[in-house]
Amino acid sequence: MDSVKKILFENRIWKSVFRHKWPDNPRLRSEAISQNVFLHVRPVKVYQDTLKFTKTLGMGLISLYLFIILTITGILLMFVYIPHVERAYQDMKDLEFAVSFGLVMRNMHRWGAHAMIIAVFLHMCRVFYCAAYREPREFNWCIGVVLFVLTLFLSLTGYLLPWDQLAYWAITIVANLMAEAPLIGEKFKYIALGGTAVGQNALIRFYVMHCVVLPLGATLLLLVHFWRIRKDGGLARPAEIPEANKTVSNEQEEKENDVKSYGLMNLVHGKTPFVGVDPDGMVTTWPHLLIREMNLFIVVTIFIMAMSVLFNAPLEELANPAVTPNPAKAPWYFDGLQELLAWGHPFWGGIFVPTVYVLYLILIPYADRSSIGTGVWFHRSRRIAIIVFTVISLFMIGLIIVGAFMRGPNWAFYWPWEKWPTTH
Amino acid sequence: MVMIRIFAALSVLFLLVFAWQIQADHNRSWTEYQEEFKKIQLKATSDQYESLLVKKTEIKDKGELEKVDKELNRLKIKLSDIGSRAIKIDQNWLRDFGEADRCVTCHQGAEIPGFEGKPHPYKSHSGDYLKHHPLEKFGCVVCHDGQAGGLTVRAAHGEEEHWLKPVLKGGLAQSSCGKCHFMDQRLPLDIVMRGGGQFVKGWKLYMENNCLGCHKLSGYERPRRIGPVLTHVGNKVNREWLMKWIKDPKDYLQKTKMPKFSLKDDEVNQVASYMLSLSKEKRINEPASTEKLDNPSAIKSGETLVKKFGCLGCHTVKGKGGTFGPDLSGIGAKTTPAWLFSWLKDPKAHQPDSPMPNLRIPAAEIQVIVAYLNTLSKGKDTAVNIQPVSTGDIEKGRKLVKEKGCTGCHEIEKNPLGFNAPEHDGIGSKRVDQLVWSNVKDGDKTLSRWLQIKVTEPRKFATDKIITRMPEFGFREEDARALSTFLMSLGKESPPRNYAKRLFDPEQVDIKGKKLLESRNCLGCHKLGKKGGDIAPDLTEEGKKVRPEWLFGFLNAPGRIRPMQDARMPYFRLSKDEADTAVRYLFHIVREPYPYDYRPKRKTHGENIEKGNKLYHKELACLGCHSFEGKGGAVGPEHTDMASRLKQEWVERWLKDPQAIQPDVRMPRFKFKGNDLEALSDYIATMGKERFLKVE
Repeated sequence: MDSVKKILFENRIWKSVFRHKWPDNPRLRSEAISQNVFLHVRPVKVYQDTLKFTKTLGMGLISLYLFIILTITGILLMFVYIPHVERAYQDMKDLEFAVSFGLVMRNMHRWGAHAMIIAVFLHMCRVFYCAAYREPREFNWCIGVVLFVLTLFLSLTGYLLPWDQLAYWAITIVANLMAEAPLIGEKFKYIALGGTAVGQNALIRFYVMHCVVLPLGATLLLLVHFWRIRKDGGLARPAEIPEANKTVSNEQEEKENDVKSYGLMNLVHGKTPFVGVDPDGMVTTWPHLLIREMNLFIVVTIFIMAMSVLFNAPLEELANPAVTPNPAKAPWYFDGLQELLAWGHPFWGGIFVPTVYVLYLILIPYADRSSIGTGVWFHRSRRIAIIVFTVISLFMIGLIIVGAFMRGPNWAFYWPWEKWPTTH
Repeated sequence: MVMIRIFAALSVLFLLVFAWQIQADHNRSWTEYQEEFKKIQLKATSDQYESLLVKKTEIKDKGELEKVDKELNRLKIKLSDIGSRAIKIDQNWLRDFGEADRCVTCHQGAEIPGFEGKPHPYKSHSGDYLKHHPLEKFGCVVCHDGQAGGLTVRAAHGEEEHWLKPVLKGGLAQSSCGKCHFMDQRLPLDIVMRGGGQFVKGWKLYMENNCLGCHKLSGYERPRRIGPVLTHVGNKVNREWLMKWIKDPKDYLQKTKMPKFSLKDDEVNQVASYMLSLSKEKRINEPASTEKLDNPSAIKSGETLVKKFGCLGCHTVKGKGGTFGPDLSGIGAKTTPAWLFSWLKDPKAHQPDSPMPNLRIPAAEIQVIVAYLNTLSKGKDTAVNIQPVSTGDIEKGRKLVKEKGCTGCHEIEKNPLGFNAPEHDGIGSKRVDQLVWSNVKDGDKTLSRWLQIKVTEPRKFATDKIITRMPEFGFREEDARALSTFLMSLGKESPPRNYAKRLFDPEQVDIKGKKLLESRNCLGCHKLGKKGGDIAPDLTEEGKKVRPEWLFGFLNAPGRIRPMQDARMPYFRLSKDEADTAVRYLFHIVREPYPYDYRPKRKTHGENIEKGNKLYHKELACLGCHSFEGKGGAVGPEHTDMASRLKQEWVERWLKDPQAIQPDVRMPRFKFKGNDLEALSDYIATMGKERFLKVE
């Protein structure tokens, strides 16, 4: 047994790849993290209390995992898909019928995209309810907001690619929505579609945006997002350190860090009250954090895989500019805005509300100057802010629910269980 | 550590889900069909092999044995080929249609004959459709619709949501014939398209019922209005009859093409009032006297004349006769003796477009016929409520006539032609999700069913908001199916270049002739091949028998040939072109060369003529039965103009054995000696006004 182990793990090749032995002591565990390009974005030690699932609900990680799943399945789909109006729909059908694992890949991609929007939104809610956006994390929150918007646009641009009626008319509606923006609206629509109506130009533009521009942008911002988390001292925690130790001089810190963090934390200047103050509250990232991350990743993958076997992604008939479905609906995450369109001038629903909403999100960390309750769910002192955020969120969700499930032909109201009358 | 255990459990779960995914992807129903077909084919081939082996033991001949061995070897190779064939997706890439047709993945036997009795999807394709429409070029989808790329039973047959073209089963697939094979409206209605029976039947019903009277369809011109001119209908019919007719035409004439408009009683009254208000001037020639009307013997002889003159070639009286013209069984209740008299005298004076020919009947005989026809009236049950006429009614009636599309089939005043109904262009591409089903709640929601309901019970789709003007034509179920097949062929998409192919050319002589004969109902009286009536002579061999210029002249001005026959060829007023077509057609069907070669076929001597003369007048005494320039018997056909009527070759054939041509003929079969036959034929050839024989 031992000799087998020796042959397997102590040969030159193995050693050339893994520079150290199985990390079974703190030093090797630290090395495992700091010397690995993929792992070293994490600290080598983390606070034990931040490992609790209820602390974050894992929403940020879930979003990342979905992004990874989407990237992999998306690349596989690119091997088959041709962004041409005469081929795209046929390719969808070929994926379904003729390509091995084509349908499951498409299903995983579709359900993954929907799930990611929900996960990113819930991640944002979690960060808000824990007040984790506060100094020094204000800018990271803003990056997060941008990532949320990018997620929506990634999903939207992908929505057109199947080139069926659902895709065609959803994008037509969103394009018309955007055209409502003052001054630049029409121009923007023209640039986005490469014309005045959805056609071949729009398809190739959306394809490039979906497969190259937006994923690259999202990846870059994700890296900054993670780097910032690391640099801002990991997850936000309540300040529970004794007053005396609250501010630590750089000199002192360096000394401490040399022992515990192996120099990496040296790079952070300013207040780092949490590091090294209470060594017993920390555990090594390997294996405590990694195993949890791994488990969560498997759970997410299993969930998406099971969804992809159980439910097929929708595919309606071939896009037909001459036949408008009634009702024609935007992708569900824009159905709230579409619902607002029915209320008054398109400008309010199409431009004003989303712009104000994003501005509101961005301003949150700068408006909140308190430091009480950071890293705590629903802290009492933030009652008003929590109520405002919750009401706005519920309002947006409510709009989406009404728009997506309770609107029938001619945008008339129907309960979800009511049958729509046949049109014409 | 608990996390490690969770990790282990999750890993196992992950593997399970992954296996599930693989299984879901791998589990495709088409593989089972292919395995099954492989078994079927293997069995069929090995059966063939075995039976040939048994047969081989009985064969002695060396050459034969070699042949059998060769065949056995071929089967052996075939068996191993089938056995080693991979289970894989089969498809035909239809370049011209831009479709990958994967139907053959399951329908493996479609192209291989010998599996006719097997169930779907192993069955060989029926008929010889695939011979003319090879799978690699047409695939299945071009004719059958459905989703060619689909590989599950539901998806492939397009019987799922969001697929607009479900598979066309059975005869409905023939609607695809029309995508490439355009049916010209000048074609004869009883044209035969092999394998396209249901489609052509639908086309025929469409033409016959004059759908083009109200519906526009590109490629088709508006046809002649099939109904009579109604501007003077007041001269012809009485108010009661008219109202009953409008209310339910089928009640009076079961086979009429006039549909039922389901008008309300006061609407019937309004329409009748309007139409009767039109005919102020009298346009009928009264008979000389009306005394014969009640005379029983006149009625009796009228009945005989109706039979003798061949009226029953087109009309039905008391259940007997043709259906080309209207049934006369109730004519007495419909019109007046005066109108009938005038009509028979000259139908074209009343209805210039009527197919009714002028029968050239002397006035006295017409009177007798009218006396008989006047007695024909059957009881009718339709109750109508005759109301006093007001000018308001007349106006409302005029509006109704326009609105309901009466002018699609009838000329009324000078009302312009209005296409009151939706165009039929692209009706075959109507989207199922855009059809209005109104009160029809159950059953399949397919285009074919919608069309079938529309043509049989159009009012099923009417609601408060949706007005249906379409009347009821009384189509039966199979008529409706055929009509829907034709209508579904009228799609928006045109076939790729080089695929459109007309199967029948309306200018071609056989088609054009057939159409002509059909339009005059020649086969109501004459026989042609196995079809037709027996009132007038059989025309099958007419082309072999007569000279073309005589036939042409006869069609333009028919004379009497057979004194014993009462039925007479009516005067059809054929145009020169039509008469020419008729001649060409009759020549064409018996492969007689046309134009005719007028040069004398042989030389003869004066003494031959003398001999023939003797034979004709003395030895055979032909004039005992036939007459020549007013002299002779009246049993056989007239001989005065025979030489310019008949071809000499045919005369000889006839004389040799008349019964071989016409078994029931009374003409005796003479025994000719030496060159008697030749001499007689030569003499006959000199009898006419013109001589077609060179006498030396």
